[in-house]
Amino acid sequence: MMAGQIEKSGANIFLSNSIFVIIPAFNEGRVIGDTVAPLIESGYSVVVVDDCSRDNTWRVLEGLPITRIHHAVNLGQGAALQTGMEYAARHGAAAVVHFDADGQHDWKQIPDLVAPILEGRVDVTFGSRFLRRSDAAKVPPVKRLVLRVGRIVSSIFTGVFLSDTHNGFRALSPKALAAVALKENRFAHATEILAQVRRARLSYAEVATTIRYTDYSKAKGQPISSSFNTLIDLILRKIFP
Amino acid sequence: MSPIQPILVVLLILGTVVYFARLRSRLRDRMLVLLLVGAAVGMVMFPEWTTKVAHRLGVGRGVDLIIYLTILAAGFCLLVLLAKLRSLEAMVTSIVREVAILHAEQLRSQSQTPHPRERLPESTESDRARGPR
Repeated sequence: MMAGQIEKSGANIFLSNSIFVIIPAFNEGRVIGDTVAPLIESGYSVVVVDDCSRDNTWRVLEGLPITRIHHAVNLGQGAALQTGMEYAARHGAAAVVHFDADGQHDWKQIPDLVAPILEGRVDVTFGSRFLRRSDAAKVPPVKRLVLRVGRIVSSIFTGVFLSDTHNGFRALSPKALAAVALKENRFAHATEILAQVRRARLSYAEVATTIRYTDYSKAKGQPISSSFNTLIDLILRKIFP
Repeated sequence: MSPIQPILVVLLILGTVVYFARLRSRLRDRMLVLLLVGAAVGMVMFPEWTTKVAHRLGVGRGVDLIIYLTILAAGFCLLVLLAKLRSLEAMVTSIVREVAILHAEQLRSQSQTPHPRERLPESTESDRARGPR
């Protein structure tokens, strides 16, 4: 889709620039340029939230027709997403897409992810790499096991059972944007968002998406040990809401 | 009176003075501190009291009872501090977020490069219907 093209969805007409793609970035200077290029080309409103990177992430994006937001201190991925969502809400987004900076999400799948929202069918869509056998096969075996355990833990904490809880590729409607306020600054936001979706009685659906595992994304991804840290965050949040 | 007793009493009183002078606090907290310090002074001056209470609770020595109570109090203080730390973290987050968004909007208005929203062709009816951004 070229810039300015109109995306038709049901009876409504939406400009693709009313879809805000939020990219939290921390030390992603090597890849962030390649990640945002096709999104800009597609006419989306790209919002990169630089979470106080120590590398050249901020400079790489200079001059591009995107919104750059800079956190003065490193707060974490959840906080960066929330900052992007607040910005999008203030600027009248028709839908917001969470997108990883390391290029592991496929920008061509954004229309699939936002279509149910733009058509008014659901408030939130969650990308899932386990709905299609071909996508699931790409997930490394150890990662698959960790995700499965994470899925069970998340469903215990939130009461929402998804096939792929820790997929960062998701989309929210303006209604969801108003209802969701992430307080988990770090990685526990993936579970927190489910709890808030349930509490606000938002409707949701899963959409099959592909994750592209590159050496870079694997190195940048959360180490398995961080899952325990996330679990501690969740428990602390239960004790101190 | 053994030599440790006046030392402990003086230290307790000094600690209380510092608390009252340096830490702004609510009346309720101050009363609680006075009560606790009063009890502590009592325990220092009359250690046989704690032994009596300890025996009633099935603990061998008064000092053991005090150690158990201290551990419990320390745990409670830790939880309170942790809760305060989290609320402080939430405050820092909201300040950093607000500054970041304001700065981004400032950058956008100063920048020569138009934002994707502005560089698009004229808006459609449905876009206009959604009102000003």
